[in-house]
Amino acid sequence: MQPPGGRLKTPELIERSVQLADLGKHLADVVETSRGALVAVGGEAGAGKTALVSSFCDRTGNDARVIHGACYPLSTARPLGPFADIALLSAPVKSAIDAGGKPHEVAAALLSETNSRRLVIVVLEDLQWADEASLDVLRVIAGRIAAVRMLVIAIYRDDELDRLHPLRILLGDLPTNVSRLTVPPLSGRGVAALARRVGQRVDADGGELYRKTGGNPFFVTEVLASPQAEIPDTVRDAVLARVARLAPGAMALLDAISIAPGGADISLLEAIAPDSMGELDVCVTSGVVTVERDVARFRHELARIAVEESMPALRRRELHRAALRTIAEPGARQRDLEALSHHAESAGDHEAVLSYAPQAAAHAAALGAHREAEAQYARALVHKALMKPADRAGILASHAQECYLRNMGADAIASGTEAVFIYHELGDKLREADTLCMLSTIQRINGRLSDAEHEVAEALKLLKGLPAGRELARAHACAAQIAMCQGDVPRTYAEGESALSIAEQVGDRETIAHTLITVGTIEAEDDSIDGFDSGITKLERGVTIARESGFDELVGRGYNNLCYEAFAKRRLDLVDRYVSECIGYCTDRGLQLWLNTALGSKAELELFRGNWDAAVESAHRALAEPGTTLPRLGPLTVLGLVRGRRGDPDAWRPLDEALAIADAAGELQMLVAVASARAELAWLEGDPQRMVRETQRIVEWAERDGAAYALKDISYWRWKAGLIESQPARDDSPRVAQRSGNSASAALRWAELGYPYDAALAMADEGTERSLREALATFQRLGARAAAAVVARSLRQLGARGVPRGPRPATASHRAGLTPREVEIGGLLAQGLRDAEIASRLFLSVKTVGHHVSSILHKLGVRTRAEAGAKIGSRSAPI
Amino acid sequence: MPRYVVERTVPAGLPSGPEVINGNSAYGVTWVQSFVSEDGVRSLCVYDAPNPEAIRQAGRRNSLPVDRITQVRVLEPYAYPPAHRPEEVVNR
Repeated sequence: MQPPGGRLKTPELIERSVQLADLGKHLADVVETSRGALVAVGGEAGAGKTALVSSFCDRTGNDARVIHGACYPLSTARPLGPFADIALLSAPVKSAIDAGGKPHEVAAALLSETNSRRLVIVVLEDLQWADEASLDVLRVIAGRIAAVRMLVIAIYRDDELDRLHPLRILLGDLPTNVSRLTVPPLSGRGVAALARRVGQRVDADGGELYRKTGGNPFFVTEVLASPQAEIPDTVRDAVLARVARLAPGAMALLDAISIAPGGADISLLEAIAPDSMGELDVCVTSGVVTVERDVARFRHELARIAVEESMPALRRRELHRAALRTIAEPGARQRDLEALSHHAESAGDHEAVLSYAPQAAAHAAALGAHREAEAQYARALVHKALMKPADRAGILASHAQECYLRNMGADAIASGTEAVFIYHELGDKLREADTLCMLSTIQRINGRLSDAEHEVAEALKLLKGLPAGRELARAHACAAQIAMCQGDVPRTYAEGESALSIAEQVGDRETIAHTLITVGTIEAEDDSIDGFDSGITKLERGVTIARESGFDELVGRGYNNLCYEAFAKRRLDLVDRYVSECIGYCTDRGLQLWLNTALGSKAELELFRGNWDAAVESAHRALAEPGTTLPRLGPLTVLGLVRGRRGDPDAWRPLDEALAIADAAGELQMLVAVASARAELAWLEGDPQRMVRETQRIVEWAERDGAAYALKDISYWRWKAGLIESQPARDDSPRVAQRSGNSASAALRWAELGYPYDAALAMADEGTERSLREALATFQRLGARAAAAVVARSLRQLGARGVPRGPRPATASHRAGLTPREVEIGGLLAQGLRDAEIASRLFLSVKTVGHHVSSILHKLGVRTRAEAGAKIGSRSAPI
Repeated sequence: MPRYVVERTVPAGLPSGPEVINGNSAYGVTWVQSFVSEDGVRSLCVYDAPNPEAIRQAGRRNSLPVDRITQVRVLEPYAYPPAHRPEEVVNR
């Protein structure tokens, strides 16, 4: 903030020369290289961030064109708020916003403002209050800034960003051409200099003024503007002391201005404070308020809050009521919806909240500001008891959808369930069925497959006997998707066919895309018809339709499935393309859920390629925001594996969380990847019985369901643990070749496919000194310290010389010297199974089991099965 | 925030403190203290960090190679009730 009061003409800022020079350097760089830059300027409230940037912009004079936009602390932010300001100065931005532009379109419009003659400086203020759509615009701008001649200065309060604030996540996420600059409080000397300017004397070290204000420039100027004997304790007291000197009429006007956080139109003030309008000049000359383009606002938010909070509650409510009446009068314009909703709530006018909040929500949702949309629906739902049932159900269903998009699974399910219940009561079968389908999608993405299945079955039951329409097509499409997740191939095809034929009749492109994605996925996995290419074609067609029509959800899901299938066939080239397309699409549109999913795929891709730094970076980004659980699986697994392979601590924790998520999801395909990672980690730790234990459930499940695909990696790790089991049939995976005596050719294939770590694993399986040394070199190059240690041990066992010493495996098991098979049998023995039972469970003869059991008794030094069982089962003594 | 001990072998010797501290802060890593061998080549460095990856990133930024990272808890004599303290502490 500029120091208030008319006495000072554009004064030199105190203690800001470093920051000004820094900004100047960025500007010079942009001019020189024609590469744009984004500078994030942070500092506490009242630190003088705006004053710094204004002073900087003033100095550039006519050399640059400055475009300015700000955010305001409305309880629910106005979607695209700062860019609506900018639209007043920029025709392209105005037409983008008027056309209902999505964030990436608004960003493109702003970036098009560059000009070869005059440099453009865009200043965005108070971004800590920005709505979600505006942050998306900023994200896009940051990504493309280097390509244009523009300096973007993003100002925010860094003391108001908690760890999960969207802006903090965004700033952490931005590319490297973004610089940061901090505006610190003044020093004691600086405070003294400021005091001298207004003719007051304080000690050279700032004295009490410095101690009480902490050097906060706004606080200091407020105190200096109201000279009195005592220095107030808080900023609020300082502000109030200053305005207390104004005439009562001026104070009444300040009250009226303070209820509009974004600034009050003069016309509004004329309506709600008609008797005080004459005092506007006084308010301005006293330096508390500014008027710009017929909008009056406080010079500083700290002052507005102080005034608003000091008002008696009743008066505040009355002013909000008057504002509500005034703005609502000529028929609300769209841009006023947030203000109306804000005043309605503050006025305690429930009817008005119910009228404006849902409208504001729909407006926000259409602009992709899902956080604001969710908040507006939630605001309306506070008064849900006053709504008509059909309205309540509609708002609940919309709220569920917004929660889902906001990654708030539990709230989404709660609202969706309530909506279904109301439609049921009302006997509105079509809407009930439709809401059930939405709910089933939400359930599934939150890992509750059986609930999802139940909802869809209910929907289909409801629609029976009604004429076939969009709802029925959608229900069949959801049923197909669930059948796919359960691995039920025939039902997936059958439901998919029903969905497609109805959807094509009624021309429902959304359901067509949805179904193509589902059926394409199952087809790509269908080895019985060699369906990979045709399945991928269908999937890509589904994604194309979804992209053209803006079905964001389906775009995300389609890419996710494309990545999954490409991974399954080890086509990293395809994965690479899908991941970058998906990240581009989601980043532009702020689709956090699918962005996280794509980042998870990227993490896996980089893991396989051996770029582990890039892998963990993507994984951490995907995990930064807690929320919907399933997208966390991939990144958690990657994190666990990288830590395990490097021999870093804390490898099990992400894998434990991943296991819990996969368990709750109840889908075999998800458990497989986690179990395989856990088996690998157990191998790295030299713990064969854990390798067996971690994979046991998968084997049983896969055998029960005939899901051979699940066993590729799993049976490999069980083989490494010393178990001899039958191989999964019909599999071209090099992993399978690896344990069939073809390790060398498997290693070659892995290398060709671009999997260096897996190639080294296969090399090591070959077991000759030469191959082990080669594997060791690769592991060392990848930084796989733990894997290198395992190979180094094998080399030493071969009697090789000059092998670096690694850590010894920490295996309690070796103390008793049990073989992995004995460990497995011991476990069953501890459960009280008899030899014949163990034999049938493990496909061994009873005689063989008998041999193993006596060997176990011998090694454990016990005489009876019961003693052995107790020793193994209690786990108190390591066996 | 978890605490870690990082084992390093730095043939060229450790870089200067302020540089390292700057490099660390970008990744949320705080250097607590280091134990360095007489020749300055091997060191055990104690850090507070959000996760092991952050330590590796900061290490790369500061050209400090990492041999091994171990997550640790701090035990010290004063943390025990008097009866369990080592003799010399009790008899002070």
